[in-house]
Amino acid sequence: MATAISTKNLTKVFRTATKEPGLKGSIRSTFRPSVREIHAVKGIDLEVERGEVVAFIGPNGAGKSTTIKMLTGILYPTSGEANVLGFVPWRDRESLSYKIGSVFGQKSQLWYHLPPSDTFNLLAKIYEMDRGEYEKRKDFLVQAFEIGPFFNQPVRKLSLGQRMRCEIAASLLHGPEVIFLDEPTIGLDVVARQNVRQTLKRWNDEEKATVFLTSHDVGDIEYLADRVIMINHGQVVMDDKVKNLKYHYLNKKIVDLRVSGEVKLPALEGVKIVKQAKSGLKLEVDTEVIDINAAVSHILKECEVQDISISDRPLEDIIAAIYQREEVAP
Amino acid sequence: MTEVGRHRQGASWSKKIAKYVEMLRITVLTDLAYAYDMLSRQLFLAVVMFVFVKLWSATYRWEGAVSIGGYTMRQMLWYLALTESISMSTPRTAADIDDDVRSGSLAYSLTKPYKYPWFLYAKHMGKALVGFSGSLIIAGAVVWIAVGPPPVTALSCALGLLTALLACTLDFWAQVAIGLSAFWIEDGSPYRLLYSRVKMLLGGMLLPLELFPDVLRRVVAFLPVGQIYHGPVKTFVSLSLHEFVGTVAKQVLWTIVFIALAGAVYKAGVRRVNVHGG
Repeated sequence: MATAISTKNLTKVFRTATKEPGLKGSIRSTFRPSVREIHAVKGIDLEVERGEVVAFIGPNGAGKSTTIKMLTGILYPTSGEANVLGFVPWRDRESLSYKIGSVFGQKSQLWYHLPPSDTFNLLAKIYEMDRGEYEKRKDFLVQAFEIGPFFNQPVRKLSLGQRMRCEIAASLLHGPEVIFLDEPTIGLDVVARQNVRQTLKRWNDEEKATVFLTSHDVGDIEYLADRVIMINHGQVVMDDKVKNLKYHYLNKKIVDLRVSGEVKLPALEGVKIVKQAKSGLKLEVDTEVIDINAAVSHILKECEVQDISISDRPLEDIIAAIYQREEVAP
Repeated sequence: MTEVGRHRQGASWSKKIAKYVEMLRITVLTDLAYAYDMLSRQLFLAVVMFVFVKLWSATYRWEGAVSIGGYTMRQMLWYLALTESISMSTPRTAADIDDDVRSGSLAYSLTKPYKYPWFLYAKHMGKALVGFSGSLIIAGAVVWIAVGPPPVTALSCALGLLTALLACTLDFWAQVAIGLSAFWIEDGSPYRLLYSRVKMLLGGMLLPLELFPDVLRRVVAFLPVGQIYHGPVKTFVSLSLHEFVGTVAKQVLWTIVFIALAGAVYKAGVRRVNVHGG
């Protein structure tokens, strides 16, 4: 499989002027400004194959968006190399722009007072598409993203979910080989979010494009991505397949119990009480320490159980734990 | 893999230009979406023109002259109708660029295959076209009722349109150079204000340059601000081929100067693009 995106020691340092407080400080800063360096991205090495759907995640300020902006050619790196589809993004910006698409969740490319159809016409001209090619492509996207009913309504009259679907469809109009999605479901309600995810999935199943996705929404990652790259403090802290992530980190099971009578569970190695209520108990069982059968037998012996459910640890918790560098290493 | 993602770098020039023409068209459409709002905003211009009509009628009567500074009253009032219409419809491109630099919109535009300054140029011309048409309807109606139709010929209209186009282009590039200073300075509004006031006071918006003191007139007649209002409007209402050629030459010269300046500022500035966070 060919490589779509690669970076080597990619680094970005922002230099921002800082002002000292007070009048004295202001005067001093005017003549001798002090500059603070922010190391947003610290030597990232990445390799993404063509056709892969990669979730690039991390807490706020981890360096996700800065990395995407370097990969799309918006920002110059401080040092290091990057290659997207054979181009150096910041040097070959225009050539690369014909081959990539991008959606920045908080930055609209649709014309607010005009219908999406007008933005599509403009984008077709911007990407120098032939009329026939454009019509075919537009029809496909209007159908795939189900935007037909409001395609000719001014954007200002659309809901956020409808707008985001138009936004994503617009960024795919020129048939990009790599698409960068920066928080595509931000601000959407549950239904709209699910709708956008399903549409993206349907589109990608059809076109098999490379997708580089950042999102704080674990649902987006679970539903869309094959692989997760986690970044924190500007460095890659984890890079694995989504299924491996679940497999490796799901050594902990959550046991929910509804009990009658008083609960007196003696301490047992590998079993931790997460939450205790009058008639309920939530336990975390570390299956590397104690077998789940043994743990459940022990619980059933000690408590009068009315109901029991065993589930995996939510992916959201796993990710949060990794962010906090909790001891969840496989 | 989709077939349409082919590299289109080899596309013809007509396709390269078509994107900017489409931008102009879409700007016109956007501005026309609120045509009534725009016209109602410009009703104020009717009041301004009414005051000018009264003021200049009294002045011509007082002076007992057929012409002042070489302008008859009809020429003078149509001169002012045109300069006021240009002034009211000049897009605030420098402020837009300032916003784009600070909000990061300029950075995001870098992911699209177009040249940001030329894209803005198309937008500027689209806005100017709609705005000027709207303003001229209002200002022209008042002056027409007061002094009759504009003193123009087919030739003065054609040449006036050419100089107006060049004036708009010159003003655009001057604004780009000022707007892009946002890469370096915290607040560009003083520079924008200075430029617009100098243009209004010295550029012949309120008075034709012929009524300025001689030394000032000679200086302003050479400066870029003298080519934005006075040059094209004089061509419309009182055509002199000799002056027309001079105006076009100066407009082209200053446009080249500002394109070079804006180009250098843009090239240096785009490396300073900083967009933090998501």
